[in-house]
Amino acid sequence: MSEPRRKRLRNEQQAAVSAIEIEAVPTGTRNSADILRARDLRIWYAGPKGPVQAVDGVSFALRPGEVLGLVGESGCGKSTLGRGLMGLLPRGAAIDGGLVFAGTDLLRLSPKERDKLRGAGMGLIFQEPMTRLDPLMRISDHFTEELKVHEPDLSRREARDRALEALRALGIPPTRYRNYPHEFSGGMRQRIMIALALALRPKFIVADEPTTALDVLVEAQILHILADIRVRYSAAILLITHNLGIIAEACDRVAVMYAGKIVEQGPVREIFAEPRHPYTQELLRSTISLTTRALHSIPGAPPDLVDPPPACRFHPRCPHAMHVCAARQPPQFAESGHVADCWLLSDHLTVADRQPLRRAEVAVADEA
Amino acid sequence: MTTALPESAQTEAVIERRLTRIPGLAALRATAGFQRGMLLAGALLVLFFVVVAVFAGLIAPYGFNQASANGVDFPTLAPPSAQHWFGTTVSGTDVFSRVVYGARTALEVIVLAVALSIVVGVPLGLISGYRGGWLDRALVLITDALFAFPTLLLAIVISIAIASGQSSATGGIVSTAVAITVVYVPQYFRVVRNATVAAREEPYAEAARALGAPPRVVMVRYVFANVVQTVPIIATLNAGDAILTLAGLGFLGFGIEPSSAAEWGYDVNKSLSDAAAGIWWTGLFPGLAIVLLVLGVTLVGESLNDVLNPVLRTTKFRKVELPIVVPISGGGP
Amino acid sequence: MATTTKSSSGSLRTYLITRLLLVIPMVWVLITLVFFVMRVIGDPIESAFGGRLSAEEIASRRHSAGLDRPILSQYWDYLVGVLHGDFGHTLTDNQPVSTVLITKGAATLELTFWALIVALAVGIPLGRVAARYRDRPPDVGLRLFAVLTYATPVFFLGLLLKLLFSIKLGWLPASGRASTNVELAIQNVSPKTNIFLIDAILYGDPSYVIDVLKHAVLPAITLGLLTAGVFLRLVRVNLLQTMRSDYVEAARARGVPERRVMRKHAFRNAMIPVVTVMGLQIAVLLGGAVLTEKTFEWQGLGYAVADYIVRRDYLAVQGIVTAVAIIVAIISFLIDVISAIIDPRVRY
Repeated sequence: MSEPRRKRLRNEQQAAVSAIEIEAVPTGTRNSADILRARDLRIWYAGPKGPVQAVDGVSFALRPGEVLGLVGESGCGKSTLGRGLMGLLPRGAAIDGGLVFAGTDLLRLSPKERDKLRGAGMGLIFQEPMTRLDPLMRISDHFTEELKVHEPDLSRREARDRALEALRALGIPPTRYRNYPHEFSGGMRQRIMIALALALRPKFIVADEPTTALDVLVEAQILHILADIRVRYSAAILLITHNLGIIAEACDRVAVMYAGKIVEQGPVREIFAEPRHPYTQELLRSTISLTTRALHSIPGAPPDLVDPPPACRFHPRCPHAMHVCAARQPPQFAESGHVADCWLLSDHLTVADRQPLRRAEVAVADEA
Repeated sequence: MTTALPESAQTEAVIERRLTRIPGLAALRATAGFQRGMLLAGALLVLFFVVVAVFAGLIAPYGFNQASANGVDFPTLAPPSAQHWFGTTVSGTDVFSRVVYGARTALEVIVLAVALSIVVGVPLGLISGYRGGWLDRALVLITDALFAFPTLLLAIVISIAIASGQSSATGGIVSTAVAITVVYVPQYFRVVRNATVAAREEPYAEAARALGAPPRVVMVRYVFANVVQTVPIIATLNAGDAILTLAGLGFLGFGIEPSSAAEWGYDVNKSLSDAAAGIWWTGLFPGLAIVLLVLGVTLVGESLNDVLNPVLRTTKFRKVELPIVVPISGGGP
Repeated sequence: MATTTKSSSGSLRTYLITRLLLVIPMVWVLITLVFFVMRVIGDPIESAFGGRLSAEEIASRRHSAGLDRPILSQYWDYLVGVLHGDFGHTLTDNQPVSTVLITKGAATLELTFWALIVALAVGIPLGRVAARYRDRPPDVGLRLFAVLTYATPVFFLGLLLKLLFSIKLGWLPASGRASTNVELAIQNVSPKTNIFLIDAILYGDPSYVIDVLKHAVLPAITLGLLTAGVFLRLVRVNLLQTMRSDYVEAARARGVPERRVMRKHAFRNAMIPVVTVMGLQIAVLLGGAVLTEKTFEWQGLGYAVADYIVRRDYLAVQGIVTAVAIIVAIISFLIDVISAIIDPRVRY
């Protein structure tokens, strides 16, 4: 296919996807009160061995004040998704699909317009706070920079007041305002990062494993802060984590991600009580609690995203894998807000389809 | 329903392999594009000069101090011509021959100096790093002091001390090589010593000791491997610097006795007075030779260095193109 | 608003004192090395005057120079002298080395200063360009340029520049610090700094100032390009690293425009090592200065040292080299001070 023809095709496709009606978003009944909507979002970036299909057809939506947990193993693409929503893509990455924030099609924006949204409309809280602050700049400088960039008409006094207020809400006293980053502990730095993310009252926040690098007590504080945010500012939060405990405690809904796709989505209570996708079931079974007798783990390893398994990406590791799972992509099965992509939920399979994939076949499928 | 992936829409990416155990081969394979070009260009340059130096007798038409042939004197300060490709100097010697023999001088001195530096500096660094204590601290202090000092001035001082004025031909080459050695030993010492100290603290060394391995075995097996990898790079980078120091010494009129060997720096010095009269060939060619040889050596060292430093390694990739997707119509319940 | 806490200013002080205490043993080591190395040569008087003076003359000179005393007492006297700023006397022209240092040292200082400006003005901006166009033609070209400036001996570059701009084109003077008449005139300026630019300004004739500047152009470029490549590559490498750093990504996530992210965050952090490297480059520049001064007949310390070597006046060489060692150490210390002030993390 020639270059210009390919480009034209892609533009047409983009336009078509953006124009698709809201009901097509497979998360039950949604309406235009959604603050963020993603449909068939794909983010592939360049890796040494070829393009990495980090996010491959992901759809979800968020309402103001809602916390959506995004859970999955390392390397499933959740961080890429979080950054992609913010528009922070690695070198040579490509993104397409539908991404609408507060009525604006994000993928159509110019880089400058995207910059303006970042920080003001949407915020990002990072995983490791230790290295996220410029060592040469005081905390005050960080705040004045951010505020001035987005609201250039602010006076210095106003900017300072806003910054101090944001910090106070997170327990950082004004006396430390002019300190340098290296003078703070990890927990305090994370709180400063959150204060920076909140300073402009964004409507949507991505929290990328905000407590993974912190100890348990600090983790509790941070989660408490996040709960506070959604109430106070009505912000929608995408909470990315690999920790199911945090999902249970802090989230309204959860999306389970595997190998670049969301395999199951729904209200936390329901998913935990009645997981429909085998991967979710395995994940829940693997968590350790006081009643755990034996350690359970999922055999195998997450697949290589450069060359993922065909059809259902979980089939090499799935204890219930059938023939059809390796042959055709599973469709979505929705039931009042609870969605799962799995052939096991289908009533329309032939006997041949339902033949279980034996371990040997599974191994072969893995290599294919 | 599966997504459509037209063959023509497939993207490609150049593969970057990881380094294997063998430094040389792996390094070559790990380079890509520009860096490989640099490496090859540098290697070719160095090889060229090595050939010239080894076969100087065959390549040079005349001796480096020869001012006449068959009873006929060569013209002085003659521009390049068929008889004298690079022209002649103020004393009638053939510039081309001097440049060719200069290559031999340069390589003799440098190979000797680098070899001596390694032989002295590496074991010293190993022992000092391994033993520690006051010996280590004293040596570090001394080498740091030497390290901070301008290399040329230090070389001058050492040269004076060793040669104490006039010297014979081999004395000139050896004494200059030794002077250069003394100046560069601190560099080898430093790197090796730091690597040794670091390796001493490594968890695997601790584990080996916990298992009962005598420290010396641990040192030899692990540290030596690390050190061996870095020494060639330091050697090439230092060789470049050493050539410049040698030329500098020659330029200042203190290096090798002119009647005993041809030296590029000395020639450039002599050409300074020629320059006022607009005579360019007496200085251009020796100088160019220095530039090319140092360039070659540095290119080799630099590209090897880049290869081993992941931040600088060239990662080749192309911008990802997402294949066209037929919207998923779903298998449906 | 409360500024820095008491502990951080205290730690700055202790850091500086610690550094100072480390510098002193280094200098002592260098002085000692130079002294004993010079003695190894044999007898300085013999080297300088052997064959030209009678044996009694030589003996009496040795006595007056104190060279027939036990070596350790000579060493001690020398150390004491150095502490008082007395670096001995030259043999061949019989003046205190300190005088030579002051008159000729100013010239070298002026040259090194200009060279450093050239190096920074060329190296830093080009390093930024190289980082920006990583691995594309501008970057490749610039890195080649950097390697070339390193590979080209200072004196060869000087020769080429002289041939082109002085001899062939006649735009700039070929040697010296100033035209003879200018030089003579500004000798009578008071206060006399020996830094020709300042002296010419004090003298008041603008054409003289221009004359001095014209004489400085070629030597400054020659010596400056020697280290420009170093700064170029340093800035490039550091910028590439800071560009990928976590705080840069975090700044982008806050919507800070890319240009500002590069300038304020990436670049400023990348520059920290530049200050340290500047200190190391001073040593390189001083070595290169010797060669540059010889090429352009710039009457500085380097020129003097080369001259004294030819005359085999080793006491003079010893004195000058000792002084240079101390200067290098002091500069290294100053660089550390500046580094500590710039980077708030660098304090014990």
